[in-house]
Order: sequence, then structure tokens, then C-alpha cells
Amino acid sequence: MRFLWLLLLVSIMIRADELDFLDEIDSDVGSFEEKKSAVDARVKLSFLKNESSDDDKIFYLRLAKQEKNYLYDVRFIADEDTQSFNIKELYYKGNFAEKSFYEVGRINIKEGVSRGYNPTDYFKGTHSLTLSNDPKERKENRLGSLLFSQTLFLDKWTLKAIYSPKISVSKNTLLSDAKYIGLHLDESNYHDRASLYVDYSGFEDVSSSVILHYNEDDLNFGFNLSYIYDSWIVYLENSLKYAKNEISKLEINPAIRDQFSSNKKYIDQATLGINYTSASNIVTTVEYIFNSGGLDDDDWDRWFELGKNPLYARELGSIREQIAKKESIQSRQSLFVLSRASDVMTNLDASVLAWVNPYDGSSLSQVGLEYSYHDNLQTNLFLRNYRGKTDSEYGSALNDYEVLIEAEYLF
Amino acid sequence: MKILTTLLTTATLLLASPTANEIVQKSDKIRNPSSSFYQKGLITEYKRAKKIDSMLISIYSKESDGQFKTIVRILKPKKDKDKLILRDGNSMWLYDPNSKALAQMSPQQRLMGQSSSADVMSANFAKDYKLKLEGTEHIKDGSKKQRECYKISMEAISDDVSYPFVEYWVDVENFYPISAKFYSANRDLLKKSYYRKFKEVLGQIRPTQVLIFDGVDTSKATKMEFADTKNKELPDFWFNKEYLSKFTEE
Repeated sequence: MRFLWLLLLVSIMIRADELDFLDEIDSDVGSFEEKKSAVDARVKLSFLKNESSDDDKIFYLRLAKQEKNYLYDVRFIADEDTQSFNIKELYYKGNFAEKSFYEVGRINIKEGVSRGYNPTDYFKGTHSLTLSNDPKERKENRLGSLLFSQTLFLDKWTLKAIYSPKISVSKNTLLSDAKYIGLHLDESNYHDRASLYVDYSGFEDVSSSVILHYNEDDLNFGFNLSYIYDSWIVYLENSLKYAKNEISKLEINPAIRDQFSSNKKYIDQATLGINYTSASNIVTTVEYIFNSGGLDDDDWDRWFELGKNPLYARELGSIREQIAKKESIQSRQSLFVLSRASDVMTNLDASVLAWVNPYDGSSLSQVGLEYSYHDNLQTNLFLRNYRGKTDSEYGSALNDYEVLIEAEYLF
Repeated sequence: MKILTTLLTTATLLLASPTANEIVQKSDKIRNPSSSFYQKGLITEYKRAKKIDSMLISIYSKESDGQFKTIVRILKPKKDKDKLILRDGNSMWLYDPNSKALAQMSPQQRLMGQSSSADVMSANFAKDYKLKLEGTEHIKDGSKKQRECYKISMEAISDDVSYPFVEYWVDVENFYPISAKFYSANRDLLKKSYYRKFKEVLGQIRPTQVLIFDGVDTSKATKMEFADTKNKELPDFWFNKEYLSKFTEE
């Protein structure tokens, strides 16, 4: 009976005339004032707890600013053992003509419509400012490459040319990995790279771009296509090159490497994705990622057999680390799922993320909660679970569980 | 006798009244300036009249072929500062300068409270919907005053719109937009809005506030207020997703 009364009361409250609250709403006068600050400063404290190692406590300080002619984003990171000052981005931008823009300096260039893995994201570096194993997180926190970029806008067309030189520097220097302020140019500019990018926005509901990318000894052809219908977005991102397989480029035991042909083959990487926004504002993305890796079916079978051999367990750990560092993928097929709900409760956002290797059934899943106490303070909680056999892609991680707690203050 | 008089008055009004298209076109011109313009928007979310959250944005909008292209830049809250949203037709992109990520998004994706990203973008109803004049009605406006309004039923003919069905009330006297109900494809009421606080903006009396209520739980309200509106030359190439990474407020 009490429940029925409660139901009736809730129903009456919900169905009250919407204008009943008008006076209270009108009495709240908001401000259009925008406080401009000299620099965008953020401080973050991260606490990472897992089973295998001591708890990590990491301090981040980010200082950034974007102006008409320049941008900088610098980060100081410190944990109990190391401290480093990193120039993530620093570049100058200007115009040759009204619709012609150039940028020069350290820039984090990112291409591709996909959310999880981007086959056409050619300006990957090998130095990321995050400890996360999530490729998406690594991509967003990597050091930019030293490059020159020129963009031209022509009606529905955009043309972009980028050149990034190879920089060879000795170890233990300021330009490489000096202890406190290493610029890591050898890791961000490890190859001579150039891209020609053409984007066309003249089709209704369809977005399209093609990219020709040169990377030292191979030529890549990539494209991005996306189509929007109502609350759905479907996209395909593809990259094709004729090159030696990825295994031949890794620093690994020759006994493993020699089992695979080092002849050049077509290497295809593709991400097919779908994104849906529900009426309750939950945004969900599902991606299927294919990576031919320059290996044929026999090669892949051999690769998976190697994974089962305990003799190579340590070696495979190193290979996985190298591939993760290159922001590449190690599996022939992967699934990526990301679902995000904003304001599930007041000021609370929730997300679920998963990477799945369908071949070995292993997975990395993460549940995240992000709570804003007020405009300046944000706290995040992430629970990660690595599941799978010890020889599997995600099951071979050092931990089964990880808890990451973050508190970020925005000045 | 009274019924007969009312029927005759209504019939006379309908015969003399403009078409649905004329009404909505005139109302569209009141809702949106016809030139390219800049304005600030303040979106505040309420639950049972208690303020929950707010967002400050700047809006750059330009009419092209009867429809609007819009860039929204988030100024507050700090965690979303400088994120940019571009809408050109049905194509909508979100650029996050922190991560340098550019992602396509659905116009239905909510910006804050009951307001979707599409709600803060200018739109021409007359171009996107098949319109039908249902007659006139006396309804309560956003200040609880009774107003005689044209009631227009609208059915989407363009994929560029976020709401398949809309009921729209326009003041008989001056074509001011008064209220609208937005429905899903299944005819479920998604939200109800009131156009309020009419002031002179760019040479025309226009609403400077829109109050949006959730279609189911009417205790959830979102207030969108607009200020500092001014004419501004906006080059076409700004409304290109590749330009977002180069965008700086000028």
C-alpha cells in the first residue's frame, strides 16, 4: 500500500505543469562572463594499484595555451623513481594566404575516423606520456613529431601536405633521452615521413578523405569514409601498403624472425565501425579491426603456435611491448567497444571499454566513472580487468586487475 | 449561438490567415538572424528548479542555401574548455584540442541537460519540414500568459533534422515563436520548449531565451540564453572539419 502511495506521489510530481518552476528558474541569473587565463594549467594525481608491483603514485602538471600564432602543451611527470619534463607539442602557425595555413614545430598529427584503432594514423610516435595499455589512451598522450604542415582550403576540398624528417641523435642527450628534459626526437622522428591528404566534404551525409603516405621504405595508401543516418554513424578506415611484414622490423630472437618470410607483401589494416547515440544519450561505438600484418594464413598459424610455446613466452612479452609502443596492433582481428553515458547521475559520467582478441578469447575491459565536484575538480575511477590464458594477448599481462584513481584540478 | 460565433470566427481567421509555410518562414526569420553572426550562449540545467550544471558557449553561425552552418566553442566548464562542435548539414564533428581528436557525432548527442548539440545550432524549420496549419489555439506562453497562436504540424522531409515530428505554435499577432513540442519517430514526446524574453537583436525583436522541458519528467528543465549577438563576417572555409584544429577565437 505504501508503495502504491509512493508511486502515485512520484507520478503526480512528474506530471506537474512544467511552468510551475518558472519563478525559481527565472530568479537564477547566470553570467556570460568568460574568465580568460594566461595559461591552461592542470594538476593531476594518479594512484595505480595492481597485484604484481608496488602501488604507483604519479604526479602530472600540464601547461598549455593556444593562440592565433602558436600552441604549446608541456607536461611535467613525476613518480617515486623518475621525473621528466616533456614538450608534447610546441609549434608556430601562420598563413601564406587567406585559405592557406602552415604549421611548423612539434605537432601531434592524428588522422582517422575510428575511435579505437586508426590504420591511417601515420604519424605515430613511440613515446607516450601514459602508463596505460589502452591504445586509445596511448595515442592521445603521445609526443608530437617535429614536422612542417601546409593546408589549403578550396571550396569543398581540403589539401594537406606534411613532411617530418628523420632525426638521428645519440642516446643520453637533451635531444633524445636525457634524464629530466629529453626531447625524445629519436622516438618521435624515427623515420623520414611525408603525407599528402585530400578531403572532400561535398557529399551529403558522407565524409571522405584519401591519404598517400611515404614512410622511409614503404608507400601507404589510406582512406576514411563515414556515413551518418539519424543517430547512426558507420565508418571504414583502411590502409594498404606493399612492404615487409611487421615481425621482420622488430628486435627479436632471430629464431622466431627467421620462421617468417621477409619478402614484401601487401599489408592491409582496416577498421569498420558503427556508432550509435540512444535517446537516453548513451553513445556506443563498436569496431572490428582487421590486420593482415603481411602474413599469410600459414604464417598466422605459425605465429599462434609460437604463442603456445612456453620457450618463447618471455620473447612474446617483449614483442607485445614493442608493438604497443609503436601504437600498432598484434592480433589479426580485434574488437573494440566503447560505451559512454553522460550525467548518469548529477555530474557523473560512466563508461565501459573493451578490447577483445577473438582468436584467443582474451580481453581487456575497463569500467570508468568520472565525477566533477565543481568546475575545477574532477575525480576519475577506472577498474581494469585482463582476462585470458597466460599465453593469450591480454591474459599475458602482468596483472589480472588494475585500479586507477585520479584527481585532477583545473586552474 | 456562442458555438456558432466561435466557429465563424475561426473559419474567417483560417480563410484570412497566411499559409503554414508563410507563418513558419516569418517565424524562422525572427528566431535566427539571416546574416552570419556571433553570439554567446549560456545553458543551465535544472532539476525541480534546482540548478545542477551550466555551460557557456560561443556560437558562430552562417546561413548558406537556406540552412545554417554553425561552430560552437565551449568556454565553460573548464574540463571541456575549447572543445569545438561543427555542424554543416547533417554532418557534425567534435574536436578536442587536448587530445587532438576529431570525431564525428550525431546531432542527437546531448550537450547539456535536455539540450542536444543540434538545439543550440540555428535551423530553418520551413526548409526541413512538411508543414500543415492545424488552426488557431489559445495556449500558455513561457510567461504563463494566454496567447492566440497558429498551430503548425511539422513532419521532417530532410535527414538533417533531429526530430521527425514537431508541433509548433506561432503568435497570430506578430509571428513570434511561442512553443514547440518535439517527437520521436514513434511519436513519443521527447521535449517541449518555450521561446521567451523577446528583445531587439540585430534590428528585429527575437527570443533570447529557450526553456526546454524533458518530454517525460517535466521537472527536468534546461534554460538556453543568448547574448552579445552581433553580425560577423565568417569565411566559408571555417565550416570545414579540417579547420577546427586551426580555429582561434577572433
